[in-house]
Amino acid sequence: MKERSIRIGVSGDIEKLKQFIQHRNDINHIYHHTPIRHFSLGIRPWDKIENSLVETCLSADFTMSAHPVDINFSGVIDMADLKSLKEALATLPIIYIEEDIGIWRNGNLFLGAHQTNPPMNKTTLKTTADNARIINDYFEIPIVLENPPIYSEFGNIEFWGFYLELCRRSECMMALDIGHYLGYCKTKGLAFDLPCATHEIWNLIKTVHISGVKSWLWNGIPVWLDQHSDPFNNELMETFKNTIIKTRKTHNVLLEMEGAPLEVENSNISLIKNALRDANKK
Amino acid sequence: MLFSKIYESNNLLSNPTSPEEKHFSFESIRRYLDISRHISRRWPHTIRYLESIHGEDVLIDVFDRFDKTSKIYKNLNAAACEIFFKKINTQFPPIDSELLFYEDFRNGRDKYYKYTSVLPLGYPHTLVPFDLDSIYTTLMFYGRAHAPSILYRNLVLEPGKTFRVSL
Repeated sequence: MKERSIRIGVSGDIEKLKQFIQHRNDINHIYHHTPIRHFSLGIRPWDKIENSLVETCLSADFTMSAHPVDINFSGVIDMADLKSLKEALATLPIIYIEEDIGIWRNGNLFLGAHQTNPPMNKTTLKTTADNARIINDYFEIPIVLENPPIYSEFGNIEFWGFYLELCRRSECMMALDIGHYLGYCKTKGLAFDLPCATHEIWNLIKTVHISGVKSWLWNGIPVWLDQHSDPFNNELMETFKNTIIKTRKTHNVLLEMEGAPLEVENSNISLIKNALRDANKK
Repeated sequence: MLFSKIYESNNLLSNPTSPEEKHFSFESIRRYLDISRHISRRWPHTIRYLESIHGEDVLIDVFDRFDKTSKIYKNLNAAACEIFFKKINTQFPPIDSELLFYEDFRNGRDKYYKYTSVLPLGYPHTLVPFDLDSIYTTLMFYGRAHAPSILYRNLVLEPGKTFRVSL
């Protein structure tokens, strides 16, 4: 089998990007010797990026994506915010924009931890695909649609069918978040099944996201929370390994570890590096 | 729409039976707890007093219809805290909101007011007819030990003369 070169990436805001650049130049740092070759920048419409940082990014040997948290793919889009975002991103070498579908904003309010997934049905599929096409055209940078965290879901279309159809209609690729998918399975009482290797979705996954999760039993049902600072557990890693051997056009694995202590970050990076090496042997 | 249904207080108070209902209830509870967390972190000692005096509704009411009331704020912290403050300020005795102002001041958060027991001639001010320092010290004393509600309910608010001075 031809060896694939999937990059390992990390994410964060502008301050984290500065640290990332420093750490990559430090020969003793795990970012240098792994190496970490992709950065996903969390950005808000009003963020301003210094010229010197832009210059560094333009000449860097890592790739960059952007992860805004203000686009309502499954609701009403605020064009003024999109304009500001476009301006903020204009100077950076962003290869794609990745964003969870659903609702991020309620009027002026940034929902953050109250970000809301759409029920997976025909109506939301149409709204999300239509919005994604509009946003794709507007930014002139490819849009990658992420499966959001799901704690409750009343739709009638199953996960893989929904995302395959969403990618087809919007002509966008997908960011598959492993933790969010496991959370969806727990919420719906499903096994952590993945589609077979010939399923078309494996051609459409641009990036695989992985981050810590907390899960437990609550009133007799399995519940979970996104917990980016936690170590990657066995459940996540097993699903990750089964995913990565099937994806065919994946550019990077993004480790979302905001707030993680250094030893957790190091351990997570090693786990992913080893899993990618094992996947390449298969 | 599902989004507005999430912020209904019935979801916190009902007893769901099916897994779907339980997951929906968890979704609501998770958000209620997040809203309460923002308020409790800002006013850790006064919140225990207000809950003991006025009941748990002081927090549940902030959650109820949050999808509508929060729209004008920029972030969850501002929305949760300001909706809560507005409720206390408009529905309860003035001492309750004065305690919230005072806790902000004690935590170094409020840059708009300072406090004095001496009449501040020439400065805009509000007379609070209580000994805020003594009351707040009691709330800290209780709060650090997680005192039972009855102690808060039986608390005699020390009368006094405290001037809240606009800066």
